[in-house]
Amino acid sequence: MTIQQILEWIESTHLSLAIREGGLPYPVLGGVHLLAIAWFGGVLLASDLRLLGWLMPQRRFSDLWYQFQPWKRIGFVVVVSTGLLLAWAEPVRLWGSPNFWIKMTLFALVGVHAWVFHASVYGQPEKMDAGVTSRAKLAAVLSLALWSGMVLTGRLIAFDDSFEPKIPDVTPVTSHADGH
Amino acid sequence: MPIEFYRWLVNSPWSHLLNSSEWVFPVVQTLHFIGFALSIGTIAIVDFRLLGLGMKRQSAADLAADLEPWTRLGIAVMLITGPLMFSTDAVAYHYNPSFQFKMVCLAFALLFHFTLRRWAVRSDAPPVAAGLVAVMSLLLWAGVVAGGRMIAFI
Amino acid sequence: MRIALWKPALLVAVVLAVCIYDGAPAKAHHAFGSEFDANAPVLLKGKIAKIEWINPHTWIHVEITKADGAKETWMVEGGSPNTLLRRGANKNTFPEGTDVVVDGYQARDHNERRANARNVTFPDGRKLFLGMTGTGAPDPEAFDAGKAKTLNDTDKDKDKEKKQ
Repeated sequence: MTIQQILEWIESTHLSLAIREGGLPYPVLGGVHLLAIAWFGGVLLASDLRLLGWLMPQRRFSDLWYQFQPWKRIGFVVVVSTGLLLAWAEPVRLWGSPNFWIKMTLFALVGVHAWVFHASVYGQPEKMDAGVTSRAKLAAVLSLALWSGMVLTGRLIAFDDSFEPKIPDVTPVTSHADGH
Repeated sequence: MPIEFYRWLVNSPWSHLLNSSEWVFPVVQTLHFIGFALSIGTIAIVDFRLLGLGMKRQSAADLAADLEPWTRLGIAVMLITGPLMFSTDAVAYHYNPSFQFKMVCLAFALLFHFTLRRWAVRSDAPPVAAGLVAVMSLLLWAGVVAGGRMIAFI
Repeated sequence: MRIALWKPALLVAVVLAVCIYDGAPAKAHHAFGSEFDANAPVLLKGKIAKIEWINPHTWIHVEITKADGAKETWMVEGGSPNTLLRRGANKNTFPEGTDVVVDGYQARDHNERRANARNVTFPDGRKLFLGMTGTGAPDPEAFDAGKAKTLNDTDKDKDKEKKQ
């Protein structure tokens, strides 16, 4: 089975058709995705801004970190699941979309980021209570850059050129020279 | 507002700037999204706290006081990026029912935020009142986001 | 609390750098003015070759016949399925082979055979507004049919009418 066949199969499912061709599902999913970005993004911003010492510096980092966690998780789940559904609607187009792949690369880098900074920052938040290390601040800046990049490239997916050939490739409807 | 005002916006230098290039508008729009993550995100954190959900190690009043500067920064970003984008298509946008709905929600959300909700947060209102205020706030801001999303689909 | 200015400056620089890297290749549909040319109205008379009934925009491919008999297919962008459904249209409103007249605005790159549709007129005279309010398409009242570039060979059409 080729990738193309798998993607085309996905596009043929009822779920995919319902989102791709339907009136409300696509914008509603998009709206929930946006609200989840506001939610998850907000908590993430708060967390990173705390690491940078700009938001709630008088509160202990670990205190805030543990309280943010459940919200981050819920937000993340909603963002990713709505994202998956949106992707399920048009996998063929996304496969050819440069912005989609850049976004996914950034997403992978987010995973790398979590792993790289686990020991020094996120694994033991109490370490930051005495004072936020410069390594932690670097982690925060990179986190903000990665997620901002994902928001930008995510926005650009819906509007990039990749699926629309400039010269449309369609078999001619008519075969007579006079056009009828 | 007379139609000439909207036409003037469409022909403004900033409108031309956003329309002239392929990437200016999406960058401005992305800043709009980051702005609402900051504003609506921090508002939602306090609203959920008013509902007794999460961030319980701080009182709602303390949490709101800590986050308010950031909420305002977010709102400032929105109030700059929003009109910038609106200007690019002011005539068409102002006719759009979803945009109109969004503006109504926004007006009420801002008014509510700086009046009733502020009172509820600072005065440590009883749980039922606090809960109602929180739900109202969440609904109004959700209306703003939903209205914004639906502009392109109405 | 002293604020070291380099910190917010670095942050803004990093965020902007991430945003700006994506310069030329990406095309943002999402502002009419950055994609289509409000000063280049076009009129397409031809047959529907294909309808793409998809989110976020529907696309109608219209095949026109030029003066030399050559066929050319244009793609015209319409509103979302939801927008069109609300106006009483659906996927089946655009059968292949139907003669239509589409008016709209050409893409900014005039080499592209792509336009943003305003109205489509069917053989029975029905007119359907395909545009989306809020994408920045010009004033609904402002379409200047006199200025519109007709992309078919209208002389040929007149000859046919005479023969009939």
